[in-house]
Amino acid sequence: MRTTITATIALSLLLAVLGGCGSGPVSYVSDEVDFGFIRTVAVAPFSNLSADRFAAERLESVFLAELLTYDGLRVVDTGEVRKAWNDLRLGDPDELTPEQLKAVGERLGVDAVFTGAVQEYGLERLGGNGTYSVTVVFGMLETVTGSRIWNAQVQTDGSSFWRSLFGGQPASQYDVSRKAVRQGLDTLLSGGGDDGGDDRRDSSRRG
Amino acid sequence: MKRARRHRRTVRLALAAWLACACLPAAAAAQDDAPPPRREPIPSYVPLIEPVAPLLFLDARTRQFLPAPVAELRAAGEAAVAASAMGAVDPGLLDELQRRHRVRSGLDLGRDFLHDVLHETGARRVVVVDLLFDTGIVLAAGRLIDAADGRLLGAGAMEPEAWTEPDAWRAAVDRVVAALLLDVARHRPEPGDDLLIALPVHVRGLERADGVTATHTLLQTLLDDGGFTLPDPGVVNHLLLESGHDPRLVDAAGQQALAAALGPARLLSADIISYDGAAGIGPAVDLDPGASAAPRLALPSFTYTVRLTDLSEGVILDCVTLYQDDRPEEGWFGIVHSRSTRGVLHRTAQRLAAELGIHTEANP
Repeated sequence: MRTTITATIALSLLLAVLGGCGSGPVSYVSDEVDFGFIRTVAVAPFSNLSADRFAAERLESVFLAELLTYDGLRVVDTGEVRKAWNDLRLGDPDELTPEQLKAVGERLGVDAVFTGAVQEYGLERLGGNGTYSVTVVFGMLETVTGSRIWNAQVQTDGSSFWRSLFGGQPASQYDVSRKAVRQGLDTLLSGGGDDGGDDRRDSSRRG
Repeated sequence: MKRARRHRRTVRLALAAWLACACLPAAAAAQDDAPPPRREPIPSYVPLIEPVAPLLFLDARTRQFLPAPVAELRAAGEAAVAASAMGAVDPGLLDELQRRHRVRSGLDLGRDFLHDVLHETGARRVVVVDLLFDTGIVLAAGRLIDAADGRLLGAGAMEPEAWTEPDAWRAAVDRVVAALLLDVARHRPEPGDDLLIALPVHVRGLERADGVTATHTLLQTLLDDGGFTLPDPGVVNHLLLESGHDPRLVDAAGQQALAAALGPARLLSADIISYDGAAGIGPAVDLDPGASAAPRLALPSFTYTVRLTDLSEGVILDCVTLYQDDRPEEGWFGIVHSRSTRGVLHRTAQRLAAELGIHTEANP
């Protein structure tokens, strides 16, 4: 009996330790903002600090598709956002002044702008196996005040305890990217949102 | 005991006989009702028997991939089109119209040009054929357009035709053009009132030919789906350029220009981004896109994203992303699907169209 209890506790501890190996997102959600008033948003062009030149576009594309799975947000078309960025001669979205953000808000008719900066993106070698890894910082800037109302840094990779134990196909770069985006958005729209519910509908598929 | 066993055997025999009696007529009936062995549908050639204006455009990754001088290739291409399009109008007259309207690309067709084609040559349809040459292969993509209103009637892209002997490119061009025109002109469902503006597919990290194939297979998917009226992307591109807008980046003003010219509609934009690890690592600018002489054998992993935008409000109505890896696609009973570029792009477009909330309540 005692042996069974000891084994159960040891197994639980092992699983807890293994489950906690992946670092979760580090996030901040402003408690001074009523997110219910944010209805129309834009997704700013993501910036890329990684060695992969398509990293920002890949993450931005996944982010947009995932964002649209949440009901209740109106997202301005990408073409108009990019044109506004060019016309207003804006650079890195994370370095915009409050005046520039206000101009973006007026031009696009949006309440907030989502930003993203890809810090690491690519294949990481862990021992003999390679796994894809993504580090990305997401943000949300309010256009009226120019303040940052949400920030989430996500570091994730395709490693898995079960996969390392039993083998199998490694997670694709797309899967890892989507996981990072979901983890980031969940800190805002599922946990920290005003309705607290998960309004996601799954519209992103794997072929 | 013996009696019970005999009884069970009798019951089993009776049951088997009953099953045979019940199933045989049903099977016979099913055989009667079953459709005849599947045959390829007989394509409708009607649009190409009527007077048709063929427009041919040639392209290559770089000039070194052209198997012959451009004039020779053009003559061969025009001959191949004329052989398939029985009602082809006078090429001299068409050439003069192309010069007058400065039509240099299949994606730049003004409605004035189409109007003049209709009234000066009598051609009710325009067939645009794009031939893209690479090392020892030629790829063909084409569209059939109603000259009266710029509506898209057909679209298609062919698997590349290859040749090994130096002069065999002519036969390859003949084959690929003939197959393309059959596909483009085949019968399709009647278009509906729902106006859908599909922009050319934008590719990142893939070759230009992949973008052409993706655009044509997406158009083909939408046409086969039926229920939509699709303005030709060449006409849409020209409308945007004419009103001073970038067709690759359709902003609110561009959307309004389209709505003013074509009426209330939804805009379908598509992007493909390569997930090939090697494609992303390198200089930020392609110094020489045609540097690699060897054509790529298979598509790398990619994401294909389609966005549906409401032109009246400029907001995204729906967006779907599909990830397609570069592993062989296996179906039931170990059937491995074709990994050809066209096959993969076409199937992905079909899946996207099914996933996307493209059909309205009025057009289910």
